[in-house]
Amino acid sequence: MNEKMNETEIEQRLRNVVDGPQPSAPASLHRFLRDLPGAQTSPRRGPLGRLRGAFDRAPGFANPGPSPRRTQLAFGMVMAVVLGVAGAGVLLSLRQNPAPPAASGTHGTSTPWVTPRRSIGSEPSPVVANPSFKAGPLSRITLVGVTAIDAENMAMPGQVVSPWGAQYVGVSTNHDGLVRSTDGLYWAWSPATEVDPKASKVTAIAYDGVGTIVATGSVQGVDGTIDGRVWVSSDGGSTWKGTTDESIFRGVTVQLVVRGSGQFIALGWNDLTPADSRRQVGAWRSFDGKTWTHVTVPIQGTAALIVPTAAGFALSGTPLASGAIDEPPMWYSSDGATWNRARATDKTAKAMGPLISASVTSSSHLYAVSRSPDGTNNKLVYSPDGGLTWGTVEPNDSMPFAGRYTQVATFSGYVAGSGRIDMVFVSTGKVGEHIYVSIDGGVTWVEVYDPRVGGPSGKVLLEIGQSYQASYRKILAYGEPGSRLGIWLATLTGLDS
Amino acid sequence: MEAAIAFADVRPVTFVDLADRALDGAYRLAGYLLGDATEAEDAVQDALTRSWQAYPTLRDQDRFEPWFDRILVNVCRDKMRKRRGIRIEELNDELAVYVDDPFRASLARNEVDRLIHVLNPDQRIVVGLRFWRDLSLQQIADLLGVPLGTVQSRLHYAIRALRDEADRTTIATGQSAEVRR
Repeated sequence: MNEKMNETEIEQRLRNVVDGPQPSAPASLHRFLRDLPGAQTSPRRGPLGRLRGAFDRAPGFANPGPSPRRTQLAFGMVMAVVLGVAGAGVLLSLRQNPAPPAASGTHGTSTPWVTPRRSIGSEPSPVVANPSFKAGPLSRITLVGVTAIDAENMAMPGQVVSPWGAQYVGVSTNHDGLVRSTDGLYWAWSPATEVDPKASKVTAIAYDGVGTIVATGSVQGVDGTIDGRVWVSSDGGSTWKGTTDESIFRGVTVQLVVRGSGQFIALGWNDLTPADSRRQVGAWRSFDGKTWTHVTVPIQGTAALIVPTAAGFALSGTPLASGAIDEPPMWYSSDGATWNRARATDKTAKAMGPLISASVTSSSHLYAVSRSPDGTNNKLVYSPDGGLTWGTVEPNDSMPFAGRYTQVATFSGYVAGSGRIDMVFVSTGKVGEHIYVSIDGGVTWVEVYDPRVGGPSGKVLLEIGQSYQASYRKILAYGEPGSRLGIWLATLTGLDS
Repeated sequence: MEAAIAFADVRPVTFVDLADRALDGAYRLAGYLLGDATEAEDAVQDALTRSWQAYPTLRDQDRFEPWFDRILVNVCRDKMRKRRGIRIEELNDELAVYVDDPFRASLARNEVDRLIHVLNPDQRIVVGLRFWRDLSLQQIADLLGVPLGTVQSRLHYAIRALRDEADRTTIATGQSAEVRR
């Protein structure tokens, strides 16, 4: 193009772009399409049709389908997919040397059939995940793509929910308030007062999967007192309302909320005076987000962690009463109201402290970081049964900073020809110390690598987890390499090859 | 034969059927509009999600493809607009993922990539639908829901902007060549 071009030549060059063989949609897109639940047979018209359409999409509702033929066909297809994935997993397990169980002392090797975590739009089909599955040699996962340079001033997301497909609402970790995004990269911030003019803090957010979002936090009265609040949105987080009886949260900030087993569970505590560390943690539950009742949890203090599992909830915190020798500070519950003490299955797990980070995989395996008193001997612990029993993921030479990790996150991805696998990420959240990932349940670890900045790593690692955009293929990481915040996307080329 | 036809007539056409047929074309359109295979895949996933949610409102299944294209184009427009606050960092050559990007390669091969950044999202969409999707101006107007004159105007200014950019870069290249001599 060394000579001046006229408009005709410009048009010809534009047309030439699509000359020759054209790329086809990648297999991952076809897979994404097939994973969209409840493929509808025909458009639904009118108010009743739209209502039925909503029921089709809503997880948890039985969908009888318009005809027996459709039902049979759908059932057959689901079974074919499930059997295919299960068969592939079995074949691969047989073909390769099975890795030893990741956590010592775990009971049995059976994998529960569970509903996995959120996919875009609704829950995906059940899958089988094998924590001891080994996908083959993996040197490292290379991070490529996009860094948000305006992220220094951008509110970064912590907890995020996705009420309408690609619309995301979350709680900001570095600017008090909410953040919203449609692409997972750019996050628009709004202050806590947008939720409630009196709000002083928004702490957590949860979504019931069918239209109700719940946010928690506190308001400050004119006399300086703090009262907890829960706010409810039915329009994707655009507008918020209070709950039926706000006095139930009086005097304590509501700090956490999760959704599981058809209900919201919220926990609250204050961290204002030394006496707060000896107060029992407040707990509430609600089925609709609007009406809340008190429940009790067996923990005290100024920190807690609760994770929804396939069977209910797993809880961790400082116990109100000392437990037996094999009882770590963890509990499980099917309803959020009655709590049972979990059991440790090895010596190390017996000595572990409360959890400071936890993540549940799509197949309901729990990975968590247990805090040690001085922060130098933290444990990566693992529960194969939704929090009933816990074992330690033993460190080895492939994990250079074992003992100092503070965060864990999981991500379920596809390996070409092998189906779905669970990846477990850990990080220390410190500058110069990278995120590490394991795809074999913690037996071997490799570095997550960005050749440009040698990261991500950071003194403030805000979140590692799955992409909100392409949930089967990418990872988002938020961190601070040196002096700036950044967002990374990772392609799993090391896995796909 | 009659039985076969009757069966075909009553066989329910699913969203997956319709979307699957449109998937290749949609991926290419997004790929050339965004100039990046990864972003294209994201955009198509977004469009699939949105169209799946809105599918009950589609009255005529025969209009699925232009309906889906319209959703996809809106997704791509959003992505293009948001790029303004985000810098795409160039990657090391050792990362083969971009080298293998068919859309980048094709745009670069035809030297379109160095020109097209001057277009705003609406102009780029019209260019994409006209030259890469091979739609008529009227079809583009129908798809975008804008008057025919608007499409003609956007295309006219887009081509002129591309020509001006080509002239500018040609002059700049020539000047630098002279300096080197």
